[in-house]
Amino acid sequence: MLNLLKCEFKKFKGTYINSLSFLGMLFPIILIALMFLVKRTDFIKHGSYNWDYFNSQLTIMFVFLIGPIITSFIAVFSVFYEYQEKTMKNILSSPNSRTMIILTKIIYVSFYVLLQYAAIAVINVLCALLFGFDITIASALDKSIHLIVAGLTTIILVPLMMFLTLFAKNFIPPLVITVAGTVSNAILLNWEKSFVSPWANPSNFVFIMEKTSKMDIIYPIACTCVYFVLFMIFSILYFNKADQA
Amino acid sequence: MKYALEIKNLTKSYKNFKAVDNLSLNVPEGKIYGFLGRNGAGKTTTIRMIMELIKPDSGEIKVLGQAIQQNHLWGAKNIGSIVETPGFYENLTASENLDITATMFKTNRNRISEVLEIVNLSGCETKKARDFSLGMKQRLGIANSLIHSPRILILDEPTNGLDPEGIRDMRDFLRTLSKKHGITIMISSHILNEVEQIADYVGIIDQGRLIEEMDIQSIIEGNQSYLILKVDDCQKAITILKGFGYKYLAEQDCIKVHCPKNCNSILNKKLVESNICVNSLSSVSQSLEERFLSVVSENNADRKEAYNA
Repeated sequence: MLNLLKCEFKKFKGTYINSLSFLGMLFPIILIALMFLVKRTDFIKHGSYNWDYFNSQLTIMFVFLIGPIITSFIAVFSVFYEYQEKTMKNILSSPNSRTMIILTKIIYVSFYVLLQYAAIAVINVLCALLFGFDITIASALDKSIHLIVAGLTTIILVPLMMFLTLFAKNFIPPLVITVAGTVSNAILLNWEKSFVSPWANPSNFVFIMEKTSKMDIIYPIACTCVYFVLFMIFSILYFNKADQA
Repeated sequence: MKYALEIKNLTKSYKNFKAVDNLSLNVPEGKIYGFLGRNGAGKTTTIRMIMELIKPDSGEIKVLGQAIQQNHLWGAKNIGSIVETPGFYENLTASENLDITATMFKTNRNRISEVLEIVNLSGCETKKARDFSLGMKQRLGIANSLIHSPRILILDEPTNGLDPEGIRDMRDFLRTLSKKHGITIMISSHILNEVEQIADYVGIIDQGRLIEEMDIQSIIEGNQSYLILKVDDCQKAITILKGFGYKYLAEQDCIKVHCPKNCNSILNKKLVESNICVNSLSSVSQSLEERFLSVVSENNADRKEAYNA
């Protein structure tokens, strides 16, 4: 598996997946930073020129919109890229089992997404320092952990998106489903059983951690674990059984 | 004879369409095998099954004596292939692309420069795959499939899209690869004169079935396309030919007679007995193209007959 992980790293280097996904991740932070720069006096007047407000805006944008979309984008294109460049047949002709090939992709993309979330958490702290917000090590750690947890729970979308891309051999159906799932986040916002949606769980976790939701944490944890395993099994089984011409 | 690749009763269907129908073929070790067939005959489907990209409904594939359905690693280690067009990460250099394949196959990185030298691409290591011409991409594809030193190389339409010079280079290159490195090469193609020039053996596939498999020499020696007859009295000779019922074409100084090779001596005897002076008799062998067209049309006629019955 180590060999295949090395291959994934070499492939991702300098691809559009790499640069586009990171730009996408940076987008909300740039947007909010610009908003704070332009409306600085208004925010000061209303007492909202602080890191709590900056961070809450960023977290909402991440867990509801950008996180699931970018995670899906990376997962979809890590598979679709192989079809697009006609390199899937090269991988399948190598002495590695199909299970190992798809498992490596899931693991690599999951780590890659987590790494991007970690990078955003660091940039978030840097923004707080740049804007001169009151910041302590404890609050920096706390807010960073929220973002990392959001990232960790978004990972359940990785095997689902890979399965859909393998099934459709195209990027459009999984991305349409991603947009639909992300839009449904807004509808499910106040629903007590929103944990059934794989797209809503990152926000559920963050709201529970921020104590703004009374949902029992066991439900989103159980759903996240069940979905991840289930989607992973689907992907492995389908990849093994289906013709990959 | 030792076979590098043995296929027995291979079948693959898509809904009601049989893409490959009970196909059996044998590729002799160390030789170049031309896998011929019209577009849609089932060549690529067969190759995809050999490469385990698609799964056969039934049948067995043996690589160097071992069934690959039970041992995927054996097949992958011993076969290098290009199915349709070679695939590369276009944003990466030739060397980086080969490095990825070498890593997948757990092959030493030194092999990268070796294979680039084999395919005459030394000096192109740092060139990005997207900047390669079609011919160079084909050669890079072969380098990619040779990286793990396979004993069998399978190329699906390797001359597709190449200019005449590129086709000639590819032909010379494959010949060298087979002779110098002892690699068994299976080439699928529908460009018959290309295959005729390099293959030692050919297998002809039509409608998913193997309809003929033989060595190229026996095609050249065994089947006569026509007989060139030079006689002193053409009119008299034509009357005799009419009696035999052979098709013929009278030219200025000779007659082209379309008859089986084993009838040459009978015809000669008859002409001599009729007091015609036979100045020369020369047999012109069937080209691979003629052989291909005749076996394919025979196969179609047989199928029609069976269907009507």
